[in-house]
Amino acid sequence: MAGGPERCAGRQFPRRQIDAGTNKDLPVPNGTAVVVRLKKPTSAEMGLQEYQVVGRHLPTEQDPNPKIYRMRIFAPNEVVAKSRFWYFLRQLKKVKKASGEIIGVNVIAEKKPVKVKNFGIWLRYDSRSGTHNMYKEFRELSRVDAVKSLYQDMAARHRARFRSIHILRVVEIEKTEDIRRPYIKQLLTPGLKFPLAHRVHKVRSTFVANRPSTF
Amino acid sequence: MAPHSSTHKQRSAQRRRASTNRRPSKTTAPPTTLNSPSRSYDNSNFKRFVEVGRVVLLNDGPSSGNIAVIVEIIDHNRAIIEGPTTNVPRQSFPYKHLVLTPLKLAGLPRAAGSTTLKKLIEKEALVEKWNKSSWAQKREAAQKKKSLNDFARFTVMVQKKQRRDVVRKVLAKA
Repeated sequence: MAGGPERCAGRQFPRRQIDAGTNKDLPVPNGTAVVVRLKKPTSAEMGLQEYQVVGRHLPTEQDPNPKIYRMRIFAPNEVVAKSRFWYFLRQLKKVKKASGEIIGVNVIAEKKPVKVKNFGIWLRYDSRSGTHNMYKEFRELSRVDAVKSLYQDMAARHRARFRSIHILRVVEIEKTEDIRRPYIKQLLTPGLKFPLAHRVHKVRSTFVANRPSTF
Repeated sequence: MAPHSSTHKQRSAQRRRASTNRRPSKTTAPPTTLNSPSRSYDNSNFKRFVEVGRVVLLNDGPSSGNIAVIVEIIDHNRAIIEGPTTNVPRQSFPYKHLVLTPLKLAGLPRAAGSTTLKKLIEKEALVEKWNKSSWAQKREAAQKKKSLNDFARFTVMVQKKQRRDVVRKVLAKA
């Protein structure tokens, strides 16, 4: 165990050690080690954002005013959002990227990001043996968070990847009676309380006189 | 042949005993789940609970070391906390990085806003109560001790010696 001054300083972000002797890009004298603290990842880098992508078929002689399509897409960045837009539109309508154009891409922000909400998500996913529809519920602070935990959940329980999941609908469930899943229902009990059992504290040294109390 | 048959009997007897042990007894109570409204902690050893109004001490993050109040439970891992008088913004916070204190803000409604919370905290003098507690005072003392430089530590040592000296002299006289 490395016993440095920052050992007790709580959670640290990963540090990258660069040996200046081997790295020619850095203007540092030879032999000095440089510690580069990596930037704290922002929410966009960490995962998903909700995009509104608007696009249409290119105007032609037969149809000078083509229909405009709008989609709400969950994607890690704008590039992926546009790509997913074309992927879905191609499946639904006779428009493809080569014959169409994107009119606009916007980020949809959460209106109330510190209010706890219950979301219902309908999805379709390709397993190793077939395609399935599913409905799942999540208790989160935003639509994006709910979708993020959905992808985690699908990866964990079904080994499903991003590419094999289609999100069909994300709806905030406003009434408690409309909640279907017991794992969300149990959190809506009035006067809910529970203890934090078996809390193991960080031991300061290898050998201590007293056993830790874990409750 | 005789020894063989006896061992066989023994083995089957053992198997029978094991099978009876494995069978769950019918008298066990049905498992109480988290959402059953009858769940009560009256007979429990636990004294502090994750609940709306519970005062918590933060262990990690930018507001580490400050106290806050649980405003709403999100799930088994996180809650919404806020400390309007202790410089803790409203946020989702994992239980892993907080400690439950014995203090509780009674009468706080679920998902109360900042204003309501602040009013109640000031009415109950919550921060003063916390600062008066031995836990908070010990923390403060530890913090102070940690911030001392080498000379200050030396001064403390000298002063402790002087105090010891006075006490011993008085004790010798008595």
